[in-house]
Amino acid sequence: MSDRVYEAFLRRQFEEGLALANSSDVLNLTPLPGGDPPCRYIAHFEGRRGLVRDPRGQIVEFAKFMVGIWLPEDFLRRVNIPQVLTYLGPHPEPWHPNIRPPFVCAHIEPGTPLVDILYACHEIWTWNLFATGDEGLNHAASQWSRQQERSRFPIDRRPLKRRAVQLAVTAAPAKEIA
Amino acid sequence: MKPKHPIPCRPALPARGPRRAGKHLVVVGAGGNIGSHLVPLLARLPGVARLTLVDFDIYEEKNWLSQAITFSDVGQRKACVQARRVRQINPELEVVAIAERLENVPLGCLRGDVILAGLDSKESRRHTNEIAWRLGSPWIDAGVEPSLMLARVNVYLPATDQPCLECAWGERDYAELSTIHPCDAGAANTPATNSPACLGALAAAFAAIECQKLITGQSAAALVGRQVLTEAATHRHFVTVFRFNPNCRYSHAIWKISALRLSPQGLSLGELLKPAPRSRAPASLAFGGQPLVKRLDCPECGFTRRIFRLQSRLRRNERFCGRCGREMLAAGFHMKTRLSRADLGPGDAGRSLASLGLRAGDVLSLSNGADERFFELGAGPVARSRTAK
Repeated sequence: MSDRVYEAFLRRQFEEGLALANSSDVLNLTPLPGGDPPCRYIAHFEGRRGLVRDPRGQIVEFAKFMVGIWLPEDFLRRVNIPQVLTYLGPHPEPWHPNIRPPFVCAHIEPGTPLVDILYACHEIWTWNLFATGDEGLNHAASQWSRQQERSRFPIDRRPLKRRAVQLAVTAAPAKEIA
Repeated sequence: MKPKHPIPCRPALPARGPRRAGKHLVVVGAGGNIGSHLVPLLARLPGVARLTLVDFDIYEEKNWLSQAITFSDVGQRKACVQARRVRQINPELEVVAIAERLENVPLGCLRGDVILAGLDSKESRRHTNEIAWRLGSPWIDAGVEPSLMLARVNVYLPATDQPCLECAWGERDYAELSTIHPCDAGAANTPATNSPACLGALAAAFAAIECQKLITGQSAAALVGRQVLTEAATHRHFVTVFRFNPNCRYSHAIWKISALRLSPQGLSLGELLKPAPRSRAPASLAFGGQPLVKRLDCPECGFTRRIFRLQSRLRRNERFCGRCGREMLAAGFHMKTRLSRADLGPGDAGRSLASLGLRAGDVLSLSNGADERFFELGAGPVARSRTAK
């Protein structure tokens, strides 16, 4: 690889992406072979609820979501979102205005860090982020969302990253009982 | 608008046989506000033997006041109109008109002693910068800003330590570039600059002067690494020096390209990906950064089409959905920018490069681990007969 700036970018994304996956109970990030540092990843979210359409046509909750992320050679200079994000399942019919297999539509700019892309994917899956107009990929899901009560969203409010809680536990002085 | 008198404009084939001595100039955006004024000036420059004119657009009525055309040119391809005019000015010149989008033109067809651009979109200028650097050709970028009556010209000389167009770009410039969203109905067209003809002619004159300096060996006097900006409204001009940015997002790589005598019809994937003797690293093949698409999906109706072709060379009937007519897209995990033997499915090894959409003049690279070599496909004879799939 001769592009020093792109290589440094990929190396940083690799470190930061894995650090985020390590501090999250729901994200599993797998770099794919074929490059050092890697430019393709599979992000596996498990344990956060999104929506899918089951074989009977009912909208039900589902807690698994896999997305392929590719940061191609010109990613720092131009973005083709269908190239960057690929919906990989496991459910064949995800129910979200911004998802239509194999496409996921998110706001990504040239050089957007991998961590921000992962957060965006998580927010889309849990319906923290969704297109409300007719500009989405799944028009039926957009229309459906407009008919729902706003309080229904997001479907899952839990954060992606585990919170570090610093607890200092000290023994309380024993009370004297008269 | 469809052309009234369509003139077949095909990309030039890379150099074959002896050429007239003299310089080869390539004009990108040859029929626009700047280009249409620039081309006649270049046709009159001494020492020029060949002009390649690139413009995919067609003249419309609205162009009549801002571009150097006559009313009878309306409805015709810009590149072809300008080529015809050059032949009238200087019949000795060899002229090639390419009425295709810049990203579809084989790199080898754009190799010139100087590349001149009069483009109205940032994305096209970024692309021209990349082409010039890869080929190692000096390039001149001319532009106008009609609301402030500004005309400017920049000159770039490709080298790994020379400033390029993107050296001066920041995050905001990249954010302004068009992003392809799967939920868009289609790519937005660049709005017309609506620049008056006189401003385009001013920028064109500057570009022609700088070109003359470059082709007559006066590089020191040329604006290399600098920009001249003229504010016609107040009769002032400014010269800005650009510096090489070590953190530039563009690699500044200049490709050392060797000519390959074989044509794309005469080469198969299996043949190219044969491991080199004494090399343990698997050979891989890339197509100048262009991705190879294996599957297209319709974002509207979900229709899927299996394919094995370069993204920029998809045919019209392949690009659009057979069910709803929407433009189909390829997801990142259904495309590859680098192929190795392991990526080939059954029967893929016998595919010819032509079946992938490659043409004479396209540049491909072969890598054996650390070593990467670039080859330009020729228009030579087909070596052996092969079945194109």
